[in-house]
Amino acid sequence: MEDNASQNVVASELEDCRDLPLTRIPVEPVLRRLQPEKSEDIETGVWVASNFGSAL
Amino acid sequence: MTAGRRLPAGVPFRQFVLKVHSRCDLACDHCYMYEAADRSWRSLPPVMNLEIAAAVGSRIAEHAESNRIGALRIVLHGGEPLLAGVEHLRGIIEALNSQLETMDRPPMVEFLIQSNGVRLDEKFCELFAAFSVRVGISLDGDEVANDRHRRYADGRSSFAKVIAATELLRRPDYRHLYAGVLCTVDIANDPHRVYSTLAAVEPPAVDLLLPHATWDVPPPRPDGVRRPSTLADPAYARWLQVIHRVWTANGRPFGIRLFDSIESTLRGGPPLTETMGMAPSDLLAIATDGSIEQVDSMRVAFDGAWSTGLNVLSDALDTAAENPLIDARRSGLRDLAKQCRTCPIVAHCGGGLIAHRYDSSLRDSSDPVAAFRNPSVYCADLYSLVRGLRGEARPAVGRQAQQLSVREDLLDQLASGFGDASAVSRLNEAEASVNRSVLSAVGPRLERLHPTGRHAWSLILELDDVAPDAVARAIAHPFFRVSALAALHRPAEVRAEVFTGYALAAAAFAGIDAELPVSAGVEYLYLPGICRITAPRGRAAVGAGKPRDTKQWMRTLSSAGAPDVLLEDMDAARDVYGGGRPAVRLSSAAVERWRGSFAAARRLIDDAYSEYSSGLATGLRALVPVKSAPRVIQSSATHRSAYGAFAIAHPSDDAAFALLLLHEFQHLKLGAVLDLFDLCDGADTRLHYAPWRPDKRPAGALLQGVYAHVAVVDFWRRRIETAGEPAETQFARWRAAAWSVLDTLEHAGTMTELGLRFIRGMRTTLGPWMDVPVSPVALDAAHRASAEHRGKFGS
Repeated sequence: MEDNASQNVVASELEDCRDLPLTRIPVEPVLRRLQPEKSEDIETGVWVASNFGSAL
Repeated sequence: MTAGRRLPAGVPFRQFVLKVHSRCDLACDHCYMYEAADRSWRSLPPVMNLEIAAAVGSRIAEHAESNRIGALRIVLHGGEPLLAGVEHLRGIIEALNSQLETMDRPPMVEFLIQSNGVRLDEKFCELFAAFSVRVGISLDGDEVANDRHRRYADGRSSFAKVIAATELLRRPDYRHLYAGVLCTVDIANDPHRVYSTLAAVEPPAVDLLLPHATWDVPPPRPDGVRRPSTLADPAYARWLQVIHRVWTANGRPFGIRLFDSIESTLRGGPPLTETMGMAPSDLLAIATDGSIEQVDSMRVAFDGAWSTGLNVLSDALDTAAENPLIDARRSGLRDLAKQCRTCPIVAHCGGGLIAHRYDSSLRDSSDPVAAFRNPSVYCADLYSLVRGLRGEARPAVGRQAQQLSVREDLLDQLASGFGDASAVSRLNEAEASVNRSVLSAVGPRLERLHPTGRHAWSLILELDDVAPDAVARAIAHPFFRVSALAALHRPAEVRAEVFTGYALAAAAFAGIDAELPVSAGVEYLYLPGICRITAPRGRAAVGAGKPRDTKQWMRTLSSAGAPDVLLEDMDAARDVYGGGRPAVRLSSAAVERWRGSFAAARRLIDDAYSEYSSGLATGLRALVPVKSAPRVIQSSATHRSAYGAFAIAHPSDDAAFALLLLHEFQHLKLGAVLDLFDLCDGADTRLHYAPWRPDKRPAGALLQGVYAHVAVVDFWRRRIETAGEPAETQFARWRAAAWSVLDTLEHAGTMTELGLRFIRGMRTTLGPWMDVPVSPVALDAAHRASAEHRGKFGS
C-alpha cells in the first residue's frame, strides 16, 4: 500500500486484500480484529449546556 | 470398403468410442442416449457383433496407418457395455486387436471402458486385466445425489452396487485398472456431499459433466425452472466453484478434468477435454451396427443429430472429417457464434460443448451448422467459472499478498492529532482492504439470510472480475461494514436485500445492466449512496448504469473542491448510534438548511483550521442527521464500524458544526488506525475516569476521547481571539483534561509501543499549548467545571 519504498513503514498484521480474488481472501485476521460490536465502539459527543456554556 | 486417405487438413481421429451395447440396465433420467430428443437407439442392434468389431478395428488401423498415428484410445461404451457379457467383450477386444496387429507399426492402444458399474465383478476385472482395459465408473455423488437420476427402471437404487464396483477396482489386484469416476452435475445436490463421496471412492481422476441441455431445453435452475444461465445467476458455476474450493482445500488428491483443463489453458497449455477449449476434436463414435456417429451429446439436439450417414462397412474414418458438424467441432473459431469469437475467455471454454449451443430457431436447411452457431446455454456459467478460476490462479502466478502498512511519517502526523490528505488516503485504502475482506467473509453466507442472497453474491463476484473499482466504490459506503458484520454475527437482524442493494449499486457504478430477485414482501431496496428503488414483481434492476424504478435519490452536501458528502437519511443500517435516533427522510427545505450549515462550517475550518481541511475532505463521506435530544445542545456520534460517517443533530450554529466535524473526524481517523494496529491491550477491562463523560471508560475508549479532544483544545485555542473568555475557559479546561488523560494512559501499563507513540505524538501537539497564558478568571472557571465533573463522576 505504500508508494515510497525509501520510507520506513509500520506494518499491520492484516494483508492488503484489495487485489486479491474475493474467494481467496484470508478473512480470519480481519474478523478477529473486528469483534462483534461493543458499547465502546460508539463514541458519542453529547454536549450538554454544562460542557459548552455560551462559548460558541 | 473404400480406401483410406490422408486427411486433407486438420487433425486425425485418435479417440474412438465404440458402442458395444446399445441398451442399459439402468434408466437414468438424465441420459443423453435414451432420454434425449434422439430415438434412433431403438433401431440399433443391441450388441455389436464380432464382424462389425473387426470392421471397426480395420478402419481404425487404416486410419492410423494413413495418418501415421502412434497412439490411440478405444473406449468401450454403451448403453451399458458390460451387458455384452465377459465372453462377448473378450471377442470384441480380440477382434479389434487382431486388425490393429496386422499393421507394420501397430500404434499403442489404450483401452478404456465406461460403465455404470452395477454388473462389474471379478470376471470382468480379470478380462480387463488380461487386456489392460481401464475402467471408468459413473457415479453422481452421495446416495441421494446418485439416486436422484441413476436408478433401475423399477425405481431401485443403484448406489450400493456402484460403490461396490469402486471397492472392487480399489483392490490391489485391480487398482491399476481404475480409470476414474464420471459424475453428472445436478445443482440440486449438495456439492460438499458429492465431493466427499467422490473423494471417498479414491478415483485417480474425476470427470464432471454438465447435464445435457440446449437453448430449446435449457438446464434446470435452482428454482427448478429450466432457463439459460445468466451472469446474475450462474448456478452451475457456483456449484462447480464449491467443488473446486473443497477439492483445492483437500489438496487435490485426484485430477478433475474440467478444472485441470481450464487451468491448463489459463497457463497457456492445451485443453484437456472436448467440452472446453479450442483444440479440434479428435473423437469419433461408432454404433453397434458400425454407423459412424457424432459425439453422443449431439443426441440432445434433435432426432437424428448423431447421424453422419457413414458406416465402417463402407466408409473410411477419414471421410467423417468432411461431415459439417464433425468439421465444426474441429474448426476452431470459425463455426462459433460471433460473440464467442470475440469473447475474452473463448480460449478456455471453446464455446462450450457443441450440443449445448443448439437452438432450433436458428436452423437453416442450407447450413447444417447454423443452429449450433450460438453461445452455449451454459455460457454465463462457463464465463463465471473461467473468470473465477482465473482469479483464483492469480496469487499462484503473481503477487504475494502484502501487509497493510502506514509510512512512519504519516503515522506520526496522525499521532499528533492531525493527518493531511495523504495520511487519510492511506486510511481510506486500508479501510477499503478491510471492507473487501469483510465482503469475502459475508458473501458466501448471504444465502443463509435468504435464497436471494446467493444471487447478490454471484453478481458481486461477476462484477468484481470486470469492474472491481465499482465493487470497491459500493462497499466503501460507510454502513457496508455495519450491515456485513451484522449479517455475520446477528443474521436474524439483516435482510439479504441489503446486499442485493450493494450488488446493484456496484452494477450501477460499473454501468452494467443487472437484475436481481428480491424476496416476497420487499417493496423497496436501497442502493447505498445512490437511491432507493422499488422492486416491482419481485425484481430489482439497474440498466445502463442507472437504477430502474427509482423512488428517492440520495442527497449530498456539496462542498467546493471536495468529494460529495452524503446526507445519509435512507440506509437502515445508520441506526447504530445509541441515543441519537436517525432522522426520517429529510424534506427539501431541511436538506437546503443542512447544505448551508455544512458549507459554512467547512469554510470556517478551511479558514481557521486549515491543517484539518484536506484530511477531512479526503475521509468524510457521509453525515447522518439525527434528532436532537431534550436538554442537549449539541449531539454527534461515531461508530467504529462506520468509517467515513458520523451522526449529528443539526448544530446550533456554524461554529458548533465545525467543532463537531473536527471532533468526530478525530474518532474516524483513530478508528481506522485501530483497525490496523493495536494501540492498547484490548483484554484490559479496567475503567478510567473520563473528564468529558459521565461514565468511566476502558483504555481504548479513553484514547479515542483524548484524541478527539486534542482537536477540541485546538478549536478553542483559535477561538479565544474572537470568542473571548468563554472560549479561553473551554481551552483551559480541555487542555488540562487531555493532558491528565494522557498521563493516565501512559502509566496504566496497557499501551502498546505504538500506543505510547500516539501518546507522545499528542503530547508534542498539546505541550506548547499547555504554556499558553490564560486569564485567571478563565482558569478558575475551568478548574471549577473540572472539579464539579470529577466530583460527580470521578469516583
